[in-house]
Amino acid sequence: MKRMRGWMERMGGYKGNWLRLMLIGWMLTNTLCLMMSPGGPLTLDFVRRIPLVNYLGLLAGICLCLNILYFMPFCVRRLPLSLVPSTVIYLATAAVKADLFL
Amino acid sequence: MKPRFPALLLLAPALLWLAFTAGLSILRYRLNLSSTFDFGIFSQMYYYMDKGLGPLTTCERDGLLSHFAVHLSPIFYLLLPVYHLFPFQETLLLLQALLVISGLIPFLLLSRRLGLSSWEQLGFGMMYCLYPAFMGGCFYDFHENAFLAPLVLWVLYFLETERIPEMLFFAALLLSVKEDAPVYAACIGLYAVLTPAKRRAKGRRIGGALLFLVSCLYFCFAVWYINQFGDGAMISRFDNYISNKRLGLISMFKTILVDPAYVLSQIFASDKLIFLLQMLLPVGFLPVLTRKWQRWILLIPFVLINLMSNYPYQHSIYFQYTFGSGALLLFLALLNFADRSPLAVLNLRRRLRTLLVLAALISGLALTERTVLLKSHYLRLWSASRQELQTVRGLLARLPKNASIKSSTFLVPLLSQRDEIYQLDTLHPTDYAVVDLRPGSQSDPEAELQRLNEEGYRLWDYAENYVAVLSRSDSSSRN
Repeated sequence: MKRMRGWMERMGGYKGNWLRLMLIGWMLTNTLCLMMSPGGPLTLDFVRRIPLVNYLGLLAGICLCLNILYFMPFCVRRLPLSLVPSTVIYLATAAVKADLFL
Repeated sequence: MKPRFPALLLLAPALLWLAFTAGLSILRYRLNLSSTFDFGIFSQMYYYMDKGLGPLTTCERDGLLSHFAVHLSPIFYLLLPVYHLFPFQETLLLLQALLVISGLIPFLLLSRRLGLSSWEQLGFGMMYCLYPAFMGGCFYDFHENAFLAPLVLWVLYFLETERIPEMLFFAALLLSVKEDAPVYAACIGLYAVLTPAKRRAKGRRIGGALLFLVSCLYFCFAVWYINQFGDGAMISRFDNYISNKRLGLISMFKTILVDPAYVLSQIFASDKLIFLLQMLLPVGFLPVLTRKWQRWILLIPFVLINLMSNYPYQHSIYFQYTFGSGALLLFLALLNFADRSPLAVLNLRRRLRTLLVLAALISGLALTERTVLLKSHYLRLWSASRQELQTVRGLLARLPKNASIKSSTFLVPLLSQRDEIYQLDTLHPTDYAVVDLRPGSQSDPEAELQRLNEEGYRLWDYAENYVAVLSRSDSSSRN
């Protein structure tokens, strides 16, 4: 019963956090793409070089991993989810890469 | 202060705004400074609509064509009864100014609904009157986008008061403004759905969901209609996001998904920063001062239509693309100002809020004063060239009503109330050709006259340094 209650509580938290998890996943996917793809990020060529199917596959994988992590038994308390670190990492990577290619 | 006092006190600035904006935009037309795009088109379109022949034009795409093949805007019919009574170009300009300032009514009703004091209502009413993008937008002659400001605010008012049938009626009018108007309606609908509502406010969510769905469906229909029966939807304004020409707009979503850094670099381009300040300073940056993410949905049209595109007119306060997003920014300013909940950034800092509104009013005043100063030169031009203008109008009025004409762009609106009017570079044979001789109005008028001469046109009449009218030798006898 206790376990069930804990799971239910976690689900309640999850309901409020799913959007954040998705956004964090999106930012991490974009950071990976930035690091893997050759060329500057501030061009349409960068977009053209990334096949949409591969991108969506990567995004789905990362989001799935984040969701699994959220339900791991060691995550007894609600995970503190913040968009700030993933966004900062992404923007910093984009800035460095854009600077390199300018 | 009595509850009706703000409305009464705001009557004077509103009338002043109307007199100045309508008066000087009419003067701009009378000075022959309005061009084919867009006033010539709309003027001729109303001429055809008045005759019961539909929204036809000949000068928009160099041939007889319905304007709805370019933009789907049935809302134009709303002004037709007035135009029928006063069939002049000036009527359209006056009605446009009246439409834009009429948005003050739902805006004041909204401020009352949100519980603002009389002084605060007065302050926000002044904010509406001093919003520079509204006055500036009216000076690029007549445009359907002017309907957006009042209609967006009426939809929001009926949404806030939970009067869903009225809200849906105004939403239907909003959708009929243009094929991209569903963007505004869909964002309002989404905002209504996602905003946590009180238990008894279920109707608001249902209405919002309905609005969102209908807007999305209408958008698809409008784009399909224009692609199928018209010239095709104007997606070229978002060329900077279209990575695959074959996929069109769909590839724009890929760009946003895959490379948000690129999107940000396009939004915060140096030329857009001034525009961003011109739009946000007169509302004291209040629209962005909230932690309630649902409200940020109402910023989507501003970002999508004004900031993302590289089409220069879409990020200028002197063109018509700011009416809808300006109305949403004003509403957000009002909403965030009135918010007393713990999630409101300005919670408990009443003094700061009042200071922000005062700062907004000062910047609005400064920016509006700039527009007033910029546009006041029409008065000087008018007094300097009144006699000459009368001569030119008299000369052009002598052209037969049934004659087909091709003309330099700035004289098309004046000559537009006829069946056939084209731009000077048309391939259509016409009875007359009108060449603008004013310096800077027509590129190389001498060469143009020479070309027309070779085409068989001969001088019919002229006003020195202003206009030359040429006729084809065979057409003078015909008319």
